[in-house]
Amino acid sequence: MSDKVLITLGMKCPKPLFEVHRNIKELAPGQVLEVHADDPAFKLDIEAWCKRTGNELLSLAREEARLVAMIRKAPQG
Amino acid sequence: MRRGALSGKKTTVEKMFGMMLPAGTGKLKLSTMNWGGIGASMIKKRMKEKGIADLDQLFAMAAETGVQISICEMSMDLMGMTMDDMREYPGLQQCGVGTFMSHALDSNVTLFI
Repeated sequence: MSDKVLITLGMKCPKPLFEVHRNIKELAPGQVLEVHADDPAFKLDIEAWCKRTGNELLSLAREEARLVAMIRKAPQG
Repeated sequence: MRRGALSGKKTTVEKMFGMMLPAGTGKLKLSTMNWGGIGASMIKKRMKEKGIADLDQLFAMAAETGVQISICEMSMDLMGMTMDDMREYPGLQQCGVGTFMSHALDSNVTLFI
């Protein structure tokens, strides 16, 4: 289960990723952020961002018109 | 923004640059299809409808994420601009090719615009 839920519906690149960056900063390492997005670029963006930042993409699932990502914050940073 | 655009210390040519260049993000024209401002307002309207961040929002996001903006000193001098002509931005600085390269090599991502 997630520690925080972030809804970015209606936001376009780069706003969803910016909000993910801003929200994950406030979590403690190991905590999980749940992100809901409908930006078409979000799937590729969140995969690349997680790979780059070391935060773990636990799951990425499509729920009707939206994507739901579960991201575990990296041990440090 | 652009506080020094028509400053008394500038030469005529430098003042002309001040008049010709846009006075902030809201005054920008499209390079093509501007149609006397109709094109620019159309793009802004579409961006708003689609939830796309405008330039001022992007500057705010860049500042919050820690993006460093460095301005080429030589280009500023060419157009007779000073730091007074620039918009407010945290840590905004002038640079030459040496400082730029040294910062760029230490950065995660560098955009040369």
